[in-house]
Amino acid sequence: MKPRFRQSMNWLHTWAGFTFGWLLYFIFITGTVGYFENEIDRWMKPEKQVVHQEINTQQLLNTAETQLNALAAKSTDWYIAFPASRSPFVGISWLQLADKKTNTPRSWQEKNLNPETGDIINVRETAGGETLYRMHYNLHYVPQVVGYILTSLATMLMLVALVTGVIIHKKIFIEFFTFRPKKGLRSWLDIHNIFSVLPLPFHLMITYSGLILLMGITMSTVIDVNYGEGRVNHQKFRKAAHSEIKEQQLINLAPESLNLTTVLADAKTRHPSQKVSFIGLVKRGSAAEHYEIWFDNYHGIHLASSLEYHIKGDKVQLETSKGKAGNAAKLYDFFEHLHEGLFADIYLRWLYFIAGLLGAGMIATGMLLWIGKRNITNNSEHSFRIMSILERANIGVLVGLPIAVAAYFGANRLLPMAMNNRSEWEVHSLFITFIFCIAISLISSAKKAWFTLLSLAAISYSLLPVINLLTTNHSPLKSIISSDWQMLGVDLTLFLTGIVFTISAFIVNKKDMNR
Amino acid sequence: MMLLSSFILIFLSFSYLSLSLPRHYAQVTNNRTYLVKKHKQLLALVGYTLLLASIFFLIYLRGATLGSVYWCAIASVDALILSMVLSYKAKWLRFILL
Repeated sequence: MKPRFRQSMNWLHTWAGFTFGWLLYFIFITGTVGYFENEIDRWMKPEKQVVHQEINTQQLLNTAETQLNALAAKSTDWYIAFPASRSPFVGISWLQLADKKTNTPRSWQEKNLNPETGDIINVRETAGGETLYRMHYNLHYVPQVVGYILTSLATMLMLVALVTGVIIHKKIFIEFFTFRPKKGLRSWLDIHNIFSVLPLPFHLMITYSGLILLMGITMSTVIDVNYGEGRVNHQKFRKAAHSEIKEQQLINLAPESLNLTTVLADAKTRHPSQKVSFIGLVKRGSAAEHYEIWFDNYHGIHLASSLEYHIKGDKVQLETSKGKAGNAAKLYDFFEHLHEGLFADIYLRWLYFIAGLLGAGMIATGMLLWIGKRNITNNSEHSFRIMSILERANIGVLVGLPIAVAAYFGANRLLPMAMNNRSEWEVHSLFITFIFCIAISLISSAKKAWFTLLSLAAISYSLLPVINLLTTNHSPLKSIISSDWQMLGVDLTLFLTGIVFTISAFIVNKKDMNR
Repeated sequence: MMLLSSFILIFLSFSYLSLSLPRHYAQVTNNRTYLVKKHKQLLALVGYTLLLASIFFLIYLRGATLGSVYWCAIASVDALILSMVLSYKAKWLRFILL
């Protein structure tokens, strides 16, 4: 019974992992890069100006309000952004309502302000860090629902592969730290185990929570049965499921003196240790008009609750959230926050990033093992040809995707500024490069494909900081002087990635020479 | 600084745990010493004690949830480094046998 059980689990592990292997690799790479969403976004918007000194709050509020009045007088929701730890900028954002006459869709607009003059900074049109990280669950080109369902399906199989992987690993503790180099497939299996077992808590958490995050889509029939079909009914469910316990108190503030300045001052006296990140004037012009204060602080893994100031009769009422009412919603929040890692400081963020890369490495080595094992046992001419195509396509995907991400960065700097649909073309550049790399790999031999693509990756990543310097004058030195740590960090990381690829290309080349 | 010390603490604990396994013990000591059972248990005991200490240390520093997240994250990287050290520079670990 037992050996048969292990055998069938082995089969399940192999095929669950292989079926969506490439998609999972895509999800892991783009998702991992997404941990540095804000930092990448800063790199892709080099015109933004970092706030150095303590800002004059009153002055900022005044200029922001003037700008909002000029640009978004009709908008219902206004927000003013203060410098925060991962976003050291000032800016305004507003909800632009849909207008059928001018054919503008309902969307959020954002403008950065010059911290000294209060003028609007014209930032280049870019897809930014957000599009890159969103790709890992909406897959960009397909309709949103299709993207959600495909990624969920891949995630489900990933979870199956993780659990079965633990079952079939006979010596999980004895070989916990074991890596035996230069032993062919045995070494690849060791590396696969190291990438999987050591960060297993991360892999399980990220996969399971990823599944949970999209359950509103994948399990939508459950909602259909209880709340009815359609968007409106589903929103009713969401509202009920995510209802919050709110604490309300009347405070000592006259309704007529309620404005941005007094609200901010009141919030600061209530929470002197917390840093304000946003102040909002929400549902303007309606009976539900109120002010919101958001903080740039985390309690454990949860964001500090925001404050709401409503006018109730001749009094001002302060509303604070005391967390979700339902236990299911609490659990959902727990997994969501763990998955997103927004609470993470710079050290933990890097650890998250490394764990994500290990996950991508686990998938990559799994794919290589799948092909390697079949290459040994294959005899017939026909299957040999198929395996050879798969082998080279696999190299194209594994090394091509990082090159494609580099192309996304490069497109941000090199595409003409006045280009139509510029941000869309940044994404196109990513996928065109990706396809190009797979094509290169398919027309060359496997050995050559490794070397060509790794060299290409090495060159493209090492060049990115140089391109940055040439097109925007953001040199690492300038970044240090202006304490622009995000720009410096991304530049250095790109360069370091280039070095890692260079070393890999040399190692591959040396191996070929020795053969 | 606190994170660095927990990083080192977990690394030490993993090192002792790995040395309680015959394969890694042989790697570090170059096969010259025979790993007797008593010695093996002692190494494992030290390893597990340090491991437990590191968990409590991080939970004490950051609270239960955040502390556990930190512990898992640091432990993953520590284990990766240790497995590479054992494969390529196993002798570096000799100092902890003193």
